Amino acid sequence: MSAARARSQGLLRLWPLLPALLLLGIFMVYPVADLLSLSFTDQAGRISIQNLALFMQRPVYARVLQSSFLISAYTTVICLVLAYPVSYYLASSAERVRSNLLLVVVMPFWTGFLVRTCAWLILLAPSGPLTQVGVWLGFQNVKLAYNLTGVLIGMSQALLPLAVLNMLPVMLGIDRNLLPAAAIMGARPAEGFWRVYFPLSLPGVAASGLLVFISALGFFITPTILGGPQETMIAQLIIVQIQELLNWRFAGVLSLVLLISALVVYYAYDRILGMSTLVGERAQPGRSRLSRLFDSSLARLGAGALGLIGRAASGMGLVLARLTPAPLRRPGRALQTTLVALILAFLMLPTLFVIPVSFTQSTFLDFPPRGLTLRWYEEFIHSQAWMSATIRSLYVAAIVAVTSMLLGGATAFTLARESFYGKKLLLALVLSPLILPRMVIAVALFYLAARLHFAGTDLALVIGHTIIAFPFVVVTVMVGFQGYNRQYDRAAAILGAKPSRTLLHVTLPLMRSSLAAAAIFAFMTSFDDLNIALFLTGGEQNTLPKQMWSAIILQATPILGVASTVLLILISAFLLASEVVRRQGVIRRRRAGAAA
Amino acid sequence: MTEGTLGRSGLGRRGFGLGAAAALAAPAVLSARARGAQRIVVAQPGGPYETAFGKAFAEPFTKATGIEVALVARPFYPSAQVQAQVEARSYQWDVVSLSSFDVEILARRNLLEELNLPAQDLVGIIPNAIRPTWLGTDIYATVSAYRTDKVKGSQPENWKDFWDLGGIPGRRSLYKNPQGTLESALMADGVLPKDVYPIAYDRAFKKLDEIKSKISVWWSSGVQSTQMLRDGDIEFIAIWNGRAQAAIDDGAPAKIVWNQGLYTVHGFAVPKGVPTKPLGVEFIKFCADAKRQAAYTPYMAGGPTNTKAFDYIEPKLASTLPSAPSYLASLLEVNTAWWTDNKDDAVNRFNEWLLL
Repeated sequence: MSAARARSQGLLRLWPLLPALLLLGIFMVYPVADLLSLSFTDQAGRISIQNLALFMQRPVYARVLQSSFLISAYTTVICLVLAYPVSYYLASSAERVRSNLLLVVVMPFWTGFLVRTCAWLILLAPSGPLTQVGVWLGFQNVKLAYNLTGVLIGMSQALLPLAVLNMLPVMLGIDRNLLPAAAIMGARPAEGFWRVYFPLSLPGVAASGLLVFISALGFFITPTILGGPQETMIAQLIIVQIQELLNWRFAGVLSLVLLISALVVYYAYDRILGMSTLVGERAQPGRSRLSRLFDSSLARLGAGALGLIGRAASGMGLVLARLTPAPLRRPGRALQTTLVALILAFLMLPTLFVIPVSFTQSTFLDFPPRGLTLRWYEEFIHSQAWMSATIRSLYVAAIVAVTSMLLGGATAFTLARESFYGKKLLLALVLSPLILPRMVIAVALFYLAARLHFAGTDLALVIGHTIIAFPFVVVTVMVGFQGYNRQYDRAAAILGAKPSRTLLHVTLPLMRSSLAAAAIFAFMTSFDDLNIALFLTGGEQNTLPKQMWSAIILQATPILGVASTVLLILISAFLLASEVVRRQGVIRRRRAGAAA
Repeated sequence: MTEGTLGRSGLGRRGFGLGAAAALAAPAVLSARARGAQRIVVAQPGGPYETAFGKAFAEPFTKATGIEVALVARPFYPSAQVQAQVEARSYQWDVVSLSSFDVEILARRNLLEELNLPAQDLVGIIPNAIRPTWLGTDIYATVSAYRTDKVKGSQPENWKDFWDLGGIPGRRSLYKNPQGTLESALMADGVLPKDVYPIAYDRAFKKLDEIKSKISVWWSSGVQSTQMLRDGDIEFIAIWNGRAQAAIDDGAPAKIVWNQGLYTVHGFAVPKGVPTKPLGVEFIKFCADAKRQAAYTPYMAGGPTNTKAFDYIEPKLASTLPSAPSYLASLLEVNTAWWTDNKDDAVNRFNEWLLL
């Protein structure tokens, strides 16, 4: 085979990347680059670096950038620490229990991000119930809101499901027989965990960490509502520049700085924790000499620290096992259950809060609710604005879930299976919609959509939401591939299955849990988005977060609690029903199999 | 679902047919929209405004003219959207409600239509609610408010008292924004309202230094300020009068200090180039009417810009409105021209003062 032919074949194999690249290229890279290029012009449109100079001269921006990174880092650590036991517990539960608990994990999303933040504001306020509990427990001067504590509570609660959904598939892929095997060979339970299970679960932890960190960088509503001045994040300043000052040039500079520093983090993360495990480059020989040289020298520098942590954990397994407090050494299921229940309670708290307050007679979303009335339910059901917004949000999210799965799935499969030069760069590009403040993407996309005459339509909304949703799909599916044994594909091929048949009947069913997690997350990303919707649907085409936001901006009325409660019930019922249908299908197939 | 609930001229339904077909159909649909039925989309702040404007302006206007009005909620700062829509010539709003500050920015950038309202329609309107591209319809003020159950003894009367930590003890809260906060500091330092502008930064920040460490919360959304005043998380707060009134109406023992409050006029404008401009202008003209302005006051604590509106408002209700004759004289209007020239700089200085 000639080298040229091999290369062209190599490129041909990459065709599944094309749709995603086109989407990103046309609807994100081009308009965003166009908008950000404004940063290098002055008022008269001449090329200038005055905006960049302003950023350098004003120390406050570097300071805010620094605190944004710190807050995101703390959030990531909290999320990982809380998500690990939950994922571990889910992975070791029976399938039925697992799918039910997974419903609980994703449940907060149906409440809507804004409502949850508002619920936290009321729960954490100095006069709020949680502070009162703290005082009752004997803590003096408990301050839960308007400081770092408040921001971290709000942000980690918001991002915890993302962490769990990315850890779980990896843990499910870990062979359940390994721990008993370790025990047979003389390892104590804790030792077996630290030396065998923990290192194997690290790719999921790494992916969760990256996604949580990057998503956290773009947060602005939580720090605005729950934080104090010291918790100001860069996205808040960008939004002030766009909305209050109409200074898109300086907003562009701030966005660029945020993007570049996030890419530096991505690069460092890759070096320290080894993104190569994420893109599955470990066992991919036969790559070009240049890239091998490039990688190996850097890899030597970073020594693939993910492996290092794993090795350290396994090396220190005995020590860690000793250090683990006695009751946790052989953590009884009861103890695990308690811990997981506490974490899930934290996750559910704002969601459960909105249910009783939706019946309050007060005109505020407050706690404890005053009296009992169905007045707000009546108002919700009779309001065309709320109804049409709810319906639009649901179907747009459903379409986005499908488009994101198609684009993201194809991208992830190709990235995980093929090796080519610039793969990590491509992954960085795919992740960039998560880093860029959504408002920047929204403004850029609005101008493009307006030029192409489809601004203000649901199509624009679907495109915008797909851009921000499919990166989650890519990462989640790629992480799923970590635990996927390629031998199955080869076995199918040897048995004569065509690639398409293998994909449909072998690969996809085996990847089920990753795909389900990815689809749910894509749906939720669209369902909960405010920024893209704010710019792309300024007119009557309201989405639910926009409708909620207009009900929250001046006064949090109990109708927010109603909207949240109704959705919670509707979507949970839908998910439960589909779960029941799926289970019955499984049982029927098993019976059929047994009969045969 | 009817045409009316999902976007005019079928725009809203278009998303159902996802894909190339929808994209190709777009120009045709847009031109159909441009031809326009007798219908306008009016963007406003939402929440209590939406109810109030619906009852006072939109419903009676439709009844009187047959022109349908769809009220949609806009972001708190709508200027970015107006600019984007005008520059892209892709209009989602026919009329937009703007604060006098928003108008100043947008008018300077030539992004608003001239209204040319005839003088006989503007009888009774206060002069600073009339601009070539905008008509002010309601007034809101940043005032101070305090908890009457906690603040005993001498009653606070002005910003000086807000700063008087020894004389009037209690937790304080200020708006995390230089606009309004700098003015309050200057007045607390003894600057006469007429001398507040141009703002002397050094003097204002020096005065703010005095209470910086005593500010329990720097609020940044209306929800927060109402919650704190209502639940008693603070004793003394700089707050928008409507947000304070919402807490009071809900039964919170709180009182508004009107003296030295800072008011802003809020009203309607038409984005540059909107094809339905005549309908929009008709709507805005309708909103100048004294009776119509009196009609929104039961739903939100905005003060009418038409002084004659007070003839139709009960005295008790009038006492909650910033433009009530007894209050307006003691309020200072936010100088939008100064702020438009200086907000960039002021925001930077304020953030540096607060964060570094």
